Amino acid sequence: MSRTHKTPPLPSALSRRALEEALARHGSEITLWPPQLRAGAHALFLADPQARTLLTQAQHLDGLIHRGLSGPAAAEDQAAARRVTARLAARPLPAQARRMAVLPGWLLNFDLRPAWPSIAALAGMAMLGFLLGSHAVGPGGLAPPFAAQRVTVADADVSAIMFEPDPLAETGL
Amino acid sequence: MREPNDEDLMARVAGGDEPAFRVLSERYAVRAVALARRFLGNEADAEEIAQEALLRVWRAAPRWQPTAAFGTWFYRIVVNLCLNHRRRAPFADLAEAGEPVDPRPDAQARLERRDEARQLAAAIAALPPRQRAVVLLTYWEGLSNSRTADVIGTSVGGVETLLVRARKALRGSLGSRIFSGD
Repeated sequence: MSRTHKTPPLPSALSRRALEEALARHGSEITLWPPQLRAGAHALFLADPQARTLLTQAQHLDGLIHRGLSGPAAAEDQAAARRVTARLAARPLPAQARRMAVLPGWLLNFDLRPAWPSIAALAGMAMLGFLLGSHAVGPGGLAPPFAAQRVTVADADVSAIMFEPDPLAETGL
Repeated sequence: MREPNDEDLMARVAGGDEPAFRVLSERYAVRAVALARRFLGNEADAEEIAQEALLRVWRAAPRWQPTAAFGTWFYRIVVNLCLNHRRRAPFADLAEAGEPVDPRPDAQARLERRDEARQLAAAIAALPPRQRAVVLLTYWEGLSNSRTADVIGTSVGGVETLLVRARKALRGSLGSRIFSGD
């Protein structure tokens, strides 16, 4: 039985503009690019000599930047740094910006920063108390479903219902 | 014996330990001068920036919280001073001072390198300040995008965008050198 050999699809080439963008974003070291982007760039290089020129120019630019901005500090930098440290050593240093230096040590050690978790817990409890107070608690205690026992209308003693003020008394009947 | 790291030294500096501050200064003065000189293009200003940055470290040490690496905090001070300084003073070209004639046989190559460095310095100087800061922190200081973002107070994506813009601008301004393949 013959096996069908499936060739991988050719990667779609980048546009020249996309290549320029990728060179600016990832630099000219194409081996470090994401694989999909690298494949697209290689496809473009095969078809477009201008794209290869763009790559060469990007490599020149990176080389120029790396040569100019790498290596040890220049001799003039080291000389300037020595002058700076000498000047700092030659005169008394200014006062440091101490926090509430007049307060005693035990008070400085006390952490006065707001403790947000504690504040959040306290606010949560206050909100819960407010909700319970405004919705769940009636004049006679906890309202359903918070009451310990539910009282149905059938179970209730109807004679215990009080009218206040007494409507019979008001009408004189 | 292990050399104290920056954070150990800062803890001592916070307690007013001047010798610890001297050690920290010697460790970071060159970096501060080099970064500021490349940012401002002026040696005298760079010295002033480096000195001011170190004095700020001393003054602010008692309030310093070790939430980030000392280096990140220090670079932030230097870059902020450079950004503020830049707003006051125009850029001074490093090459303005001229150069004596060098009789050695490799003098031609050295001159070409010098010329290349001058062109690069001028191209970097022409970048907007934040792009310049990102280029210098990335290439000169070798910081990761994440640390660079911490230094200049933006996101990693913001740093990448600034770098892309800076590379495009440098490509534009250094075009003749790149196209000639020097």
